[in-house]
Amino acid sequence: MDDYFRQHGHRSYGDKIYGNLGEFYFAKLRYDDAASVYKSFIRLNPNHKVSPHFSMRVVEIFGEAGFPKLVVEAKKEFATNYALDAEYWLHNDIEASSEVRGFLKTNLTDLANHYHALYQEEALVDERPQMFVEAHRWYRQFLGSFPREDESPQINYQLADLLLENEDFAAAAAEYERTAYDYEAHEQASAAGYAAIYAYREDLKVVTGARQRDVKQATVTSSLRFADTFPEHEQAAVVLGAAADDLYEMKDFPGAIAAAQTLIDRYPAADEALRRSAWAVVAHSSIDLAEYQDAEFAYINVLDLTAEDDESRAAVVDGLAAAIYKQGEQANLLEDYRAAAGHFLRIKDVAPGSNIRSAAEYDAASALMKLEDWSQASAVLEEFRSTHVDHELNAEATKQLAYIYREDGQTERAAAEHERISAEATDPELARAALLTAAELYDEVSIIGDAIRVYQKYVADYPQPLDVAMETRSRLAEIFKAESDYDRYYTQLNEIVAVDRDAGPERTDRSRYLAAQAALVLAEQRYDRFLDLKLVQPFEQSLAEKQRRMDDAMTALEALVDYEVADVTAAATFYIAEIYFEFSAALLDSERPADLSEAEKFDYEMVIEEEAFPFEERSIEVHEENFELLANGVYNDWVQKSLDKLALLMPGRYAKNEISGGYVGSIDSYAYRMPIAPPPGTEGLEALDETDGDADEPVEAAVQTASDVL
Amino acid sequence: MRVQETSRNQWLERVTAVMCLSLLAACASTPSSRPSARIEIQEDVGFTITEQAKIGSSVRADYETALTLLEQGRHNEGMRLLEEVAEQAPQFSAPRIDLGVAHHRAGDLEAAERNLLLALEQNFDHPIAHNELGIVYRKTGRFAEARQAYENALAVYPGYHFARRNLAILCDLYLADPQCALENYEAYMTTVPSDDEASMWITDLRNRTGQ
Repeated sequence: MDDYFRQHGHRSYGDKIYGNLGEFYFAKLRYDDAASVYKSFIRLNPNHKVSPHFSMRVVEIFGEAGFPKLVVEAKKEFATNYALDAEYWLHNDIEASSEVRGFLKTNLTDLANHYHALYQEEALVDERPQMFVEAHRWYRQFLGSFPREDESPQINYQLADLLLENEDFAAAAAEYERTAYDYEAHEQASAAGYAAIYAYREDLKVVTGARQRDVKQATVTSSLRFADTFPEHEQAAVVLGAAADDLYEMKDFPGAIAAAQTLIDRYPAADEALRRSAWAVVAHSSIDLAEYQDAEFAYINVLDLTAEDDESRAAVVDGLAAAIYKQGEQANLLEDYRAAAGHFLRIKDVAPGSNIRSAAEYDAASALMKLEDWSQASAVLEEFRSTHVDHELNAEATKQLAYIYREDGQTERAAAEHERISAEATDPELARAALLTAAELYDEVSIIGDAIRVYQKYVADYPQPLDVAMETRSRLAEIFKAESDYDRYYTQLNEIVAVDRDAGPERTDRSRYLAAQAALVLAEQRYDRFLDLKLVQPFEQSLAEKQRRMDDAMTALEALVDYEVADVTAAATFYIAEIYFEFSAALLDSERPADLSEAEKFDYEMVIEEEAFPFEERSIEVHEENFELLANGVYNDWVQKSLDKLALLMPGRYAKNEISGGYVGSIDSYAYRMPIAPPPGTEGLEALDETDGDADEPVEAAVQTASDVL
Repeated sequence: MRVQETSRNQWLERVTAVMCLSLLAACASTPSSRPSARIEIQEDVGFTITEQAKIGSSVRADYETALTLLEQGRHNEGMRLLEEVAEQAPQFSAPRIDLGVAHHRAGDLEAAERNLLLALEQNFDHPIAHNELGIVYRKTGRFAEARQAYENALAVYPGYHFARRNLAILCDLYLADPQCALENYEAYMTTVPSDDEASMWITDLRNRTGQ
């Protein structure tokens, strides 16, 4: 037949002849011959409009014959020859061939299902890759040929399943998404959307390297799309929560907050753990975005959803405290110290068990100190110290309190705090400095008893540094003197002298100066004892005692020179001169014997004067020596005192006082006239008279005389 | 005697011209803070200082009352009122000079110095202020400054006998400079020849220096 038609050309009835022959063989159960007849026609007439029908008839014949493999081959041949992109359709109208399209759709579906089933066959595990390729091919071909058919979503879903089974997770996820979102609404859409997320998450388990983040991002994107597209899906809230977690992990904090907040707003009845987790994402993300107020609100919600005995509760409380603390820090940066203190102090009420509470209270006090709100600052610190007894900032709190009380004028309390600082300090230098400050503060507000107590403790506990101890002893001596407690005053002066003397190489200029000043006072004491004694009868006995006291004072005064302190040397010299002068005066003022005759009295007076005069001369010499210190650049009160004394003893030489010009006398004018100037009117002083502000005040009235001596 | 005559010739030479030093404010940015001060000098007679600025009659009266109180020994009242005058008429040197003198007499050398320096800020050519300041400096051991202060006064008017005598004493007792002392004592004597005490000092000084 083939030869006949080849030789005689095409005949319009040719297909019927082939058809009749094929069916003849089929009736005779000659299946292979029947199929061959149909195939011959198809081969000779590939684009004939009945060729697809003949091709389908071949499928049917093999089916009737029970040749499954041949059926499959026939279907594959049909699917290949009449695929929508095959040449056949260049010669035939596809729109007018609905039956052929139906055959194609059926064949592609059958082929895909067939191979997919074989793929799943445990017995054919070795052929699984080949089966996958076939199944994948026919699924793709179906979807390529019929993308918008009613069956397409289902076929697409199956394709996705095939890919998932083959552990091609990324491709599976993509096909599930396509199934879920690229078709008109269909029953399996939400399941496909959920499956897409599953596929992504499976992919996440195996993906490595840089792709991890891409896959995670895709997972999140798919999850959010799922939740938005299928909000009623029973797993929508879970998916949203997981997406929020992933976004937080990816540090996409605004995204994390948005996802979590959507969950919170959209699913108020969602599982408690799920909502708690969402609030936690909002809280943590807000902290990272420095949105501390939002963080605080979120943590409060987390806490509400956390059981009292939940072991994570403490961490949540710490988070809440941190959110509030950060608000305090922000306020501090804006120099809104009142607000800062308010936030720091809120922690105590809102999150009393938080680790940061104590530091917050301390910082609240610091903020209040910046506002100089001493009252509240001290109250906070006092409470801090009593509440957190063993806190590491306790010592600092005490220092701050000491400062506050000092600034607030509560000097006594400041002093007490410094004593406490000293007692509690582990740093010896801090303890020393604080103790001294405590004493000085008591001293400052004249709480003398405590000042003395603490000063004494200081000099006992801290003999070094020497200068400070010496200054402290000097201050103690001053206090004793002011209190008229002379026993302790002189005792302290003696200790000053002794400590300096025994200091050896530790001795300093300052210790030497202070010791010199103390020794001067002690020497003055001896001088006064010398001065107090009057020469009375019996004269010899009295004179001996006077001389003994004189020697005693002299020894003390002469020893002062060794200190090499200019002031003290000048003072010593002055007193030595005064001892000579006073001894001379004492002789002259001495009690005279009662029973002398006139002649004896005269002789006695002569002798007394002869004895006294050299002492006065010596006094003048020593005062002049003192005054001569001026030439060495030494001038002080003692030098001036010697000069004053010399002015009395040798007025012609030393009683020379400056004269002042006196008051100006007129607010806007001053007229000076020399003492030797001729009287006004005897020569021209018109200019003076004319320019005087007080025209009626005579010029001479304003002239000062040398009598205005200061 | 030659030294004495030389000294006399320096400033006793008859000069008929009257020197007028216009001491307008040195600092142009604060012209109203200082009055226009003028000093008229007649070499063999004396000098007059005039400070011109607006002043209320009550301030002038308060100034005179304050001086009366001081002269009566009512120092606290006088100084209080004088301080008010000085604040109301800060452009005049006299209230500050008088406060300086008053504090000096009261023994408050620090306040005295402060007021005298304020006075000199208004009128640097006021010999009374320099002389008073010289004494304050001497009492506080600042001998070089004291000498400069006296010399400032004498630069305005060499015959100003207060500063001349004080400079002589400073050189005599505190600077151990007998030559300076002798020259200034002698110059002083030409203006106050009746000062027998000073005459005796000159004799003593000549003896000590072998002159």
